Amino acid sequence: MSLDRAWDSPGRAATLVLSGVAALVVVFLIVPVLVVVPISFSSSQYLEFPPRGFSLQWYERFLDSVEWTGALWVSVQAGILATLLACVLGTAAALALARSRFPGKALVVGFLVSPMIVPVIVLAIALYGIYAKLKLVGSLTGLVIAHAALGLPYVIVTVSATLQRVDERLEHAALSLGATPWRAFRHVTFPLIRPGVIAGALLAFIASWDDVVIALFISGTRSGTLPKRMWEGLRSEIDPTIAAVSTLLVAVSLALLVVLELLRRRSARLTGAQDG
Amino acid sequence: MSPVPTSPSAAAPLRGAVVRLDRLRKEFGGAVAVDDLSLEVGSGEFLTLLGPSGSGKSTTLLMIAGFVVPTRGEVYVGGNAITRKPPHERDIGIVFQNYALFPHLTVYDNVAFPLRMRKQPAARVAERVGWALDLIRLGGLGGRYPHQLSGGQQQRVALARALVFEPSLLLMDEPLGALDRRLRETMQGELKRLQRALGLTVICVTHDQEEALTLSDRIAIMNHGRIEHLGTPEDLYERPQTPFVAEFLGESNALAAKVLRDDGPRTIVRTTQGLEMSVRAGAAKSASEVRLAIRPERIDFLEPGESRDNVVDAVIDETVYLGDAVRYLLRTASGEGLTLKARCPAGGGPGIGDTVRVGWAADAVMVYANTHAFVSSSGLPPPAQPGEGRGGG
Repeated sequence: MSLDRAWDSPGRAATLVLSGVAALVVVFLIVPVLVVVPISFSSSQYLEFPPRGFSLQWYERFLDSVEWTGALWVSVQAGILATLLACVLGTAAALALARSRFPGKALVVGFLVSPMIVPVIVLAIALYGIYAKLKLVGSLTGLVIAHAALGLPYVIVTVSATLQRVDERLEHAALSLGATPWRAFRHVTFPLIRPGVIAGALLAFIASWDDVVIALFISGTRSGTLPKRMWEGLRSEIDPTIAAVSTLLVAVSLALLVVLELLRRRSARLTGAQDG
Repeated sequence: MSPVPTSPSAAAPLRGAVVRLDRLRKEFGGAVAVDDLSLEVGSGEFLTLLGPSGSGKSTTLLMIAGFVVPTRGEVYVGGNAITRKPPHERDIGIVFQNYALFPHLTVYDNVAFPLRMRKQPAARVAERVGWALDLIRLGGLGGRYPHQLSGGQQQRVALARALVFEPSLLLMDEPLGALDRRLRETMQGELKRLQRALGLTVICVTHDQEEALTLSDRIAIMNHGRIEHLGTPEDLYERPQTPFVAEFLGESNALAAKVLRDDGPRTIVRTTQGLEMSVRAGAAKSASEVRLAIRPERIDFLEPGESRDNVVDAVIDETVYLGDAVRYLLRTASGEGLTLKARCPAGGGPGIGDTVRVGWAADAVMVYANTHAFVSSSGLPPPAQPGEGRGGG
């Protein structure tokens, strides 16, 4: 409270300036993204703003094109499979990190979270080198593994945060009551960390859904993801289909973020109730 | 108090197991948390491990439960060594500190949990949960979630959950620590009633001496990973084996002294401050350094003409009102500080700055050889010690 007041103290003028700057930042960051939305409904043949007329032709073209829908299907598959893989591995890793002590733990944490820190291009080049040897370049398997690595840090971070609020004694209680370690996890720990796992899953999915760099390197011509197809499309055919696809990508990401926020509020409410 | 509903499966009480710890030891790194601890708990006995934090009592409990692997030594329950069994195969009920109720499950599902983990048929689960909820008088609250219950109710649910699968041993970790005073007293009574009626063997860990004194058949006072003194609450309070026990359990005046001479049935000692007093003869070797402990309530204000083995004049430095008693901090002419505890006198009693005559019996002075102070319970015996605990120390 006192901190808030200290923040307020420079007065109304400062607050106004600050709000203005914040508004400008939002405008510069968000508006370009939103511009594609009206363009995608344009009846014009070119990417132009403001759009002329209204038409769903670009969505129609998107859905009629095997190239585009194929890429969408690859993105969906890679996203879901990579998310599942990241969730299983990330939850297991978070549990191990939270519930055990071993030498070099900090190092292991750093290693597991590194895909979030290392520039994606570096990760992509490294993966390309390894995949070339393993003959995984161009395969869905390779893409799923790479995207899982990309999503893993998100799951570890969110699940670790949730685990910190779960009393280890609850797990001890379950064991003392006759639950095997697996059943203790399934019936006690997992239900309690589920919000963290779901949040991590959504973020992992978005990481895969948004990725273009890794896909450029390791997905082949047949198994390109949607962002990769867009990248290629931008170089050859500059028509508003791109805008339609962009709108779709943004909509999915936005929907997932909304779900995430709703989950966060729900879990905050539940833990609040437990405190009371 | 209504009668305890008997188990529908067996009319007989649960019959707690005999528990034996054999030279149980735990080292963390180089530090010894539990130091070759041996102990036997009888069937249906309520034993409390009492001690300050870091005394090894919680580690001992965790080793019995199976959450900490002993460095060496064995745990026997009902004659079987369970030292190498994982926790979920031990069949030991545990009431955790803060209860550890599953927040995402209802009261009913919490209590049903151990039965479901044992794959009991639904009808049997319903029957046993009903029995357990009746046992703790929460029959109507099965549908509530833990956060909708009061602290006392949560405590009882934790107890029901730990008893519903008829464990041979019940462990409790600071079971009443989170409750307010009034509730704690009620729960103490209820806990004792259940334990007796069901014939449970209970091992309880606490740092709360009142809880230990009221609940336990026997208490093991722990310090530095060892048992300082094992005995009945009365034993421990009236005849503490070590100065640590005398000071930890209840209050006592702790004084350092030197033995001067034997004087018939008495031995005369002098404290470092120069206060001479007579103690029970044979308590210490001549010229040796000793530690003395005197319970504040064993020192009395003396009426004119009244006498005791030891009489001294003192000035009242401070008084502390305790409700049912008053604690007086006294200073003797030789400069020795003494604490005296007396019932509130009707007429108000002496006040700060008053000079008073106080006295105590030679038998009220507990004498300990200085060498073994705070180290172990072996060595010099305290005044008369009948029924020294089984296998303690």
